[in-house]
Amino acid sequence: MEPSPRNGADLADRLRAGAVSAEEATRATLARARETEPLGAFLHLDAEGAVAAARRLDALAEEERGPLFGLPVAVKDNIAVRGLPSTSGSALLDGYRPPYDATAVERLRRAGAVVVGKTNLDEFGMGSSTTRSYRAPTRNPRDPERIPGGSSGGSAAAVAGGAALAALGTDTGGSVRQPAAHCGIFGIRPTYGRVSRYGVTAYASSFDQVGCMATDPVWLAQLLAVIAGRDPRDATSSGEPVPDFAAAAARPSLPPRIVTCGPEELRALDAESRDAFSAVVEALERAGCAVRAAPLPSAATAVAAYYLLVCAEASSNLARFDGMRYGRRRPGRHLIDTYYQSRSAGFGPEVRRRILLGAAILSKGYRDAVYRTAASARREITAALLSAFGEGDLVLLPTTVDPPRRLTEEPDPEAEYDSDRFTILAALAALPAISVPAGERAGLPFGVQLLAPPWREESLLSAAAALSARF
Amino acid sequence: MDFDEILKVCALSRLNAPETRAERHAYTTARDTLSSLVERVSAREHGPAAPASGDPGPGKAPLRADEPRPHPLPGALPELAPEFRARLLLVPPIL
Repeated sequence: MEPSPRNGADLADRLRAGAVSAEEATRATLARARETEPLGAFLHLDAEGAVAAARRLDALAEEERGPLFGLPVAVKDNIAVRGLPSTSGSALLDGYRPPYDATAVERLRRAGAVVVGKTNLDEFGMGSSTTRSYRAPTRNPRDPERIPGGSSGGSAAAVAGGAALAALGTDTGGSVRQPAAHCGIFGIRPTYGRVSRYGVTAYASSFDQVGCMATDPVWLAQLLAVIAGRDPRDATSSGEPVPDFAAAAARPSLPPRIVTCGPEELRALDAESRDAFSAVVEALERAGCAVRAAPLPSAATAVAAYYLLVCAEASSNLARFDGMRYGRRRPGRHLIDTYYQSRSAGFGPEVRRRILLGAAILSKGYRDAVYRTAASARREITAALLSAFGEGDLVLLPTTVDPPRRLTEEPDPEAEYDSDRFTILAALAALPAISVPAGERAGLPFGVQLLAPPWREESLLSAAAALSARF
Repeated sequence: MDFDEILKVCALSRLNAPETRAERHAYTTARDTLSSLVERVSAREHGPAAPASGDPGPGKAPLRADEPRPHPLPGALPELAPEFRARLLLVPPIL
């Protein structure tokens, strides 16, 4: 077998033309998923259900086939898929099978996609490595001794390893874009409200967004177009019209003006990443873009504000997991003790850490001094980012500060939080952002981010297609 | 947040007080992280974090010494077959 470039848009064409059946595409994907099983990308592979769904699709008349007809997709395990395990990577939810589909999954199925399985993640999305799942860690297909990034590392590894044509992830502070960069694929976080969060296990509700990952921007755009739009079951979803994202991605185009951060912020990068980022800037300038540095919000403040707010929301959201309605229960001496035992045994160390941080932040004596200060910093960061779009059409930033670390290395929690410095800006400001594969550094994938004003995902997709074509 | 305060926050969170070295480490790291984050976000324009009424103020309580970090992974990672890495680059033509 020869190495073969994967192209989801091409497969979509072959499926529509009848050159490949949905069942053939699904079986080939499942075979690849089994072959790459040591990567640990999937928590649950649904071979039987996927083949049955593909057969039902093949039986449809041509005019009944949706835009994603027969395309095999993977779904992060914190997104509900009816009847399949949905653990969010937590021992506390081991055994939980939701009786309904998340809106994003429901829309994928209606468009003809085939869900092949549920992918691994850091517990409840809390991490950047996919080593904090209650099961085994996920490996990076580009170097299996390294992390794939996270928290949607299982989805990124499945797509990059050829075990799914595309995948859904969730992005709270970079959980789609950072693993996409580490695995050499595209990952988009849409504007907050663009995609319904119904059926997504809540971590930090004012930040969480469902995002898409794929090996090419057209396929990414097709997926996003299907899942986007108002959903009456999520009051925060928006009725903003959904443009033709696929058409935008199929028309690669760079904007005339791009803003980036100054050299101070780039000091956070290791030397090879700085060189790779400079190469991206030079490529954009050669293509006729005016790239200029402008003052952007301080990453140090942004990281602190982000984690204070996210932990506060997490401690509130995760209060519902007490062993009563969902997941695993550890009996105690009485009801309250059962809550304590179930939560203490079910949550992993990082989740407990963030719950404690959040509870402390929201407790008397801290709430005014800390929570309100962080919320105020978020408003200032949002205003600063929005004003940057007065000087440029898009903002360009690195996605990650360094290459994916080895699986056996473990940074300080605070150092790991700091490594999110470039992805959390879009999350704090509720902006759309895309990570674009842009060459390599030290033999490993390098990705850059483009940020756009709210609801301008088509600008991101068009620019991402143009930029990636230069690497 | 000193260790007594961690115990109070554990109760608010319906979590057991730390019993093992690893748990205690996770909790004390949370305390250290909170202190640091609070100082960073407060320092952006007001200087060092101001104490809230009735408590010594975030980041002001004496810190306890950290304990050694446990290994992050629950067990040793399985060895990969030598040919696995090469196979990763080969994708079925249909895909």
